[in-house]
Amino acid sequence: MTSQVLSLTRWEWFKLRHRRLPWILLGITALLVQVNFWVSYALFRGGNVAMGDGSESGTVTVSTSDQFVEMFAFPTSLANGFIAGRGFGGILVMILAASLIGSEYGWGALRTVLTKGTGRWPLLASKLLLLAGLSVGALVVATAALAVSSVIALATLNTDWIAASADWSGLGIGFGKAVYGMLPYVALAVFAAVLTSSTAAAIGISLGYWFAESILIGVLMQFDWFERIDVFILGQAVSGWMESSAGGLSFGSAALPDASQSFLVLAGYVVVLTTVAFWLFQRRDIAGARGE
Amino acid sequence: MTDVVIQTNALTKRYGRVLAVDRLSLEVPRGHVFGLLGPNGAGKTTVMGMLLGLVRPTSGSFSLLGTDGTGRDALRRIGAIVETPAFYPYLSGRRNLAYFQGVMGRNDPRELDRLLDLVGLAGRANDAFKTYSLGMKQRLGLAYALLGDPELLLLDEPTNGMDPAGMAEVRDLIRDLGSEGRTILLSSHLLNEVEQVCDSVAIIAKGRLVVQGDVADLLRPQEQVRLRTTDDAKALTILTAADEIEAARAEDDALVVTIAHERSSELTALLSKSEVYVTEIAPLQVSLEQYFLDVTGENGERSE
Repeated sequence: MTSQVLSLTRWEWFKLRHRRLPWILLGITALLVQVNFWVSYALFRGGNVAMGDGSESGTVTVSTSDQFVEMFAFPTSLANGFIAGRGFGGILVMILAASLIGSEYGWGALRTVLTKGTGRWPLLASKLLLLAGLSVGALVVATAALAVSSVIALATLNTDWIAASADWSGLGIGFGKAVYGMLPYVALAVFAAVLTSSTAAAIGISLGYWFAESILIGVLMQFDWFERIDVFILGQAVSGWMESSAGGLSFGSAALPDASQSFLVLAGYVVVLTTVAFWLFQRRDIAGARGE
Repeated sequence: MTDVVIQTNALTKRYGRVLAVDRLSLEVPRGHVFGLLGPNGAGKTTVMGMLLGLVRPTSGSFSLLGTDGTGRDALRRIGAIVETPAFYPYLSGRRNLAYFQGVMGRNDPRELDRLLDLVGLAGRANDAFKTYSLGMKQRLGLAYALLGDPELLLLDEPTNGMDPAGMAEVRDLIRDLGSEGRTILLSSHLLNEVEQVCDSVAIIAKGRLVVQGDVADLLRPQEQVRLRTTDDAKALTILTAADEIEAARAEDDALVVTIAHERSSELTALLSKSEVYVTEIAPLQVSLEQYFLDVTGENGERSE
């Protein structure tokens, strides 16, 4: 079974790499990472950042100028990139996952694949495995793009390339956490795609949930009781999980859920959503092309 | 042991209140080109879908190539196209086939070349599938179905959308594949296609099996001759009284007699004994189309 899933994953990649969408999404990822980095840089160079005495208003508040400079030094620049990128990373990975599954229904190609005796369970497992792999790949590309930007920024700042508080092991942990933080979004989009058998509907549901949740959290934070249940909200759990690895800057958010609790909640989302997706995928009749 | 490749037992599929397939029991013998004939909406594609594991039967069972039909192993020995062949639009024909060959656990570029050549797509193999005409898509579907040299082919309307020349080519190809010993289940609403290509046929209407048998056997009782005689009234009396004549009737200043064509001489001999002489005789053959319309109650409304 494992070898079949691995073989199918290879052929899923063969198919996907000839498609424009993943490359476009990867380009957007690299672009957004760069925009995030260089906007911070521009704010710093323009003096629009509040320093230790808080005499100036700005986007990011840090205690000292040196601490801010560390944002651009290794490995802090990369670790902060993982955290800052969790929002658009989640959105992009949901679009990819919804499209990868939903287009199989839309084009009717799912029938063609299954007709050759490909098991439904291994097929969906291979797609999930590929999505997890692509999440890692996208993060590697984003990290590489950030590294290049860091080098350029540091050259202009005339400062040390390695942060005084360098924690290289934390970088690996941050990378792993970023990947893990994307998995519930993959699971959500896969579930939505299998549920609706449609790319457009799956993207709509996934992004709709993402934005609705963001708005809802903002509203519910006004209530004290929300602190007791906020860990069960996907976005809050991801934030709690990711922020625990920040080791640097706080972006002014309220108290976040505990990392270990968040870990379990995210695992719960992944298990429940993928289990239901597998059940539906295994059980349902497969219709012909829908022309999406 | 009867070598039956496909056997369905009271196979039923219900979509809500719609009964798409109603207790269908079929037997497809090994080596036959078997036609599944019925008007649009008769349930042909649903039957194909159930056999291929795409549609879950509401009740009933089936066996494929000696397995109980619930496993996936038999599907690896089957090639199939269901409805309009659906492939990845951004991949070329060749890459589509390479992908499906890959998911079957195989990687043989020479097989791809051979199949693309066989279906006449070698010249367009590297063009994106989305640029193909419907006929070309059907050809690619046939190439896909033949991947892995399957012993059983399930072809759902394989000439749909093709021009007449393309249809003739595909029918020749299906006949060739059948003559190689493959079993082929061909679903079609094109009566002449089934008549030209198939050895056996099952006619279904509204999800139900109407009749099943060899195409030749189904047609033979319908063989008729049209004749004129020196005394048609007397001839009709003689023929309707004769045990060896199945049926005779007067029609448009002539007589129509149901009798196998090779027995026409017996007819003339019988009449001449009573001094009634045949002045004109011509074979009539009720087409499968007429037969189909009669048995399905379509009353002349063609489904094409």
